[in-house]
Amino acid sequence: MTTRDDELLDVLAASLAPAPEAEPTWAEVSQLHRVVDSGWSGRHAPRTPLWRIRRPLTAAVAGFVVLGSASAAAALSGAVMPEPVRVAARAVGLPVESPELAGARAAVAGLREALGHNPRDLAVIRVRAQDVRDRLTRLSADDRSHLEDEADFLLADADNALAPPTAPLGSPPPQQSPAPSGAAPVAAPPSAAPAGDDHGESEPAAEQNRGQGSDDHPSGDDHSGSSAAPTGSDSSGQGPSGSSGDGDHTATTQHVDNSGQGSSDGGGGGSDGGSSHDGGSDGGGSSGSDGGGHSGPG
Amino acid sequence: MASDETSELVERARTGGRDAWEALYRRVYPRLLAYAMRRVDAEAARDAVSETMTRAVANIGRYRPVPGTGGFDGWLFGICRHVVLDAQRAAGRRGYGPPPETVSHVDPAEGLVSAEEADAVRQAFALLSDDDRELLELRVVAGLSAEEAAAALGRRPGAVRMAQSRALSRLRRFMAEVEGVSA
Repeated sequence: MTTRDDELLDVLAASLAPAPEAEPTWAEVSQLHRVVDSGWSGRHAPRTPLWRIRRPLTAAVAGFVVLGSASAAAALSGAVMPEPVRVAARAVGLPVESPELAGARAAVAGLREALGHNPRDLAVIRVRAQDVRDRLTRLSADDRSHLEDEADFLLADADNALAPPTAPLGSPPPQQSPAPSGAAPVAAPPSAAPAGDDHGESEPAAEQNRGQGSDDHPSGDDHSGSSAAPTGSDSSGQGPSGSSGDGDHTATTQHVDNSGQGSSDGGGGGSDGGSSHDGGSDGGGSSGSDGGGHSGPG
Repeated sequence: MASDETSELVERARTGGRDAWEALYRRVYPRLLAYAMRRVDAEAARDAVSETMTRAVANIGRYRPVPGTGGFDGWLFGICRHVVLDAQRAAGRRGYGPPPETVSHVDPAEGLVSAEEADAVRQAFALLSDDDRELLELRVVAGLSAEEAAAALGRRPGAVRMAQSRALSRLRRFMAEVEGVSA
């Protein structure tokens, strides 16, 4: 019996030792070669280990959560979402409005606010109306459909507000440069109705027509208003025939009366009534004829 | 084989050298097979050795040669140990005992130990606990140093030396009991 550990280990090794001639077979060596070859062919294009992309992945998930939370909070609270957040939220597929639509909506709200001030600040209205027009042109058709109705209404209102003021009844006719007979009428503002067709409407009249459900043609076909319209009083009221300013003024008065009748009698809508009375004649305001038996320009 | 030569083979193996891998395989094969055959049958032991090399090829990038921590052999036998454990679990075997194949490999002609003494050693060895047997097999069958055995077992070298000393004490006691019974 051995007493020292090393000697005992030697005895143990001699008792348990394997056969020294053990060698791998040819098949085992070939298998190792295949493993080595396949292992290194796969290592030429190693996949990125998960731990290397864990941080970016975590950051992306966190960003997505933050964006989603911010979008949801903004949607619930009604707060305006910052544009970078909106852009990022749309980029990741969250259902938020496009930045262009949000900007246009804000511009429309600004115009509505400007129109609601009393007294109105025409300079502000002009700037904001132009801003709305600019933004509308940049919208896609789908986005524009969300705002088009309200924007058109407000822009028409803004155009009316920006139009030159109508001379009050009984006041002297507006000073106009004597246009030679046959001269071209003064150009109307871009958004106004074509000269001669729009006979203008004072705001109360317009509001009345809208209240009665008439077709609202703020600048074109609504003939129910007075001639205080932006184009009617000045341009269309002066026919090529050279009607005098007095005649125009008289016609204006009559138009106001007719609008009241048209609005109340038309039944089918103020515009129809208006047109039945003075559509042709007012259109003929440019021709200087009287309107439907009413006192014309003389 | 010198450790420098092993280190050179390992460095070549890292770059996919087939010859280096084959040289390492041939060098370590007898010890891996002997270690595995202590726990599973011969067929499963050969499969375990092949699987060990396959895992070594796949994970050679993780091997870091640090002095005093067992080196390549300790790392390789650590893989083999897990492979054998997996094979034992797959076979539904708990614990292990000396397979009959290894008993016949003793060569009393070497003179170091007589046939009777070798037989008594094996009987005493079979009385040891699984942990003691595993540790001593890594030392004497696999031929690992205390550091290499520690690396294979995932333990500290100092703890392995102390465990080895206690295992040998128990083996010595069991051998005395066996010899007393046989006498």
